[in-house]
Amino acid sequence: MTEKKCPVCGSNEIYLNIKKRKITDPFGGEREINVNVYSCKICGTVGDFFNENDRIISNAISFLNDKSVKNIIDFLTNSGFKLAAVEKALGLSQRTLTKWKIGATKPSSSSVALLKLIKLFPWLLDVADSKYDETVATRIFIEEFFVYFSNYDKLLTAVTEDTCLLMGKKSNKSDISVVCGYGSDPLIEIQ
Amino acid sequence: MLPKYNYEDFRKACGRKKGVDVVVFDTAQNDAGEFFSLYTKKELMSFIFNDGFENITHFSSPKHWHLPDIFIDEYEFRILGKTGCLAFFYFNGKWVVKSFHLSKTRFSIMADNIIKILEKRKKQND
Repeated sequence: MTEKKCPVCGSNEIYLNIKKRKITDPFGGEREINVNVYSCKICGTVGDFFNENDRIISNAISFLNDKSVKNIIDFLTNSGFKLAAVEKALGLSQRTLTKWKIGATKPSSSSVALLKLIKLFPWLLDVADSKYDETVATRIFIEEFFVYFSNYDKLLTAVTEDTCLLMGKKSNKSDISVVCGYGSDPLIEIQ
Repeated sequence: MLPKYNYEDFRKACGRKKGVDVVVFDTAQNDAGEFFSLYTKKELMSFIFNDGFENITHFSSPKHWHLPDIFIDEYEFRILGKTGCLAFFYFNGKWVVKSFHLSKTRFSIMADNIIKILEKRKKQND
């Protein structure tokens, strides 16, 4: 048996740690996997020295993608969408979504990405159904903006988490008013 | 400060079969997956080789913490709305990716736009 050596410094003073790692998908949940992590005592390198983890990680991602596809299609059905109508809007062959759901065929990576976008923004289906007409798409977008805007908590979380902006709600409870800016200096006010 | 290594050599090494000339630190691979959806070494190597960075700028070259006379080139890059940091070095015929994480500045497009408005407002006030 060949002795395992550090690929960087060539030392045989390497140690294997089997680490638990969680792979998550917002719509497919999470999957815990074991990965091999080697450490070299001489040069301090820590990693997958022998390319053993890629296959394990890819399998976990593939599993979660399959699960997310099923969950998103269930979400569409439970939200009252007819799968035939969704397929028509997206230009898919009839029964494609059902085949994806039961695992009879596998969607491509771009199809999975499209489904995830639709899960986040179901109104994209209306845009597709309007044959991607720019004026109609803009109108739908503005309507949806106001829907999102009325959900203050969602908006606040999205902005503060992603951009470290400070937002504050004005004391007048009858109007939803959002103030964006840095520190105590309000910058933009939207009512 | 100039980079210690030729970035093009590093990029090309990432494209070689199975990435045998490149070793990726566990933390770098983890961060690449968490922040940039580059979960596997194959995905990470392919992304670097195919020039996926919008702009990549060298900013420092500190010394390796373990290996004498070895320097680590640190670069800042942008991928869509995220700014990240890449650190690598060359030793014993291998390229080693030490870090691949979000930059501490973590500018997003939205934050950039807010800054533009801030600057505009400041000008108006002045």
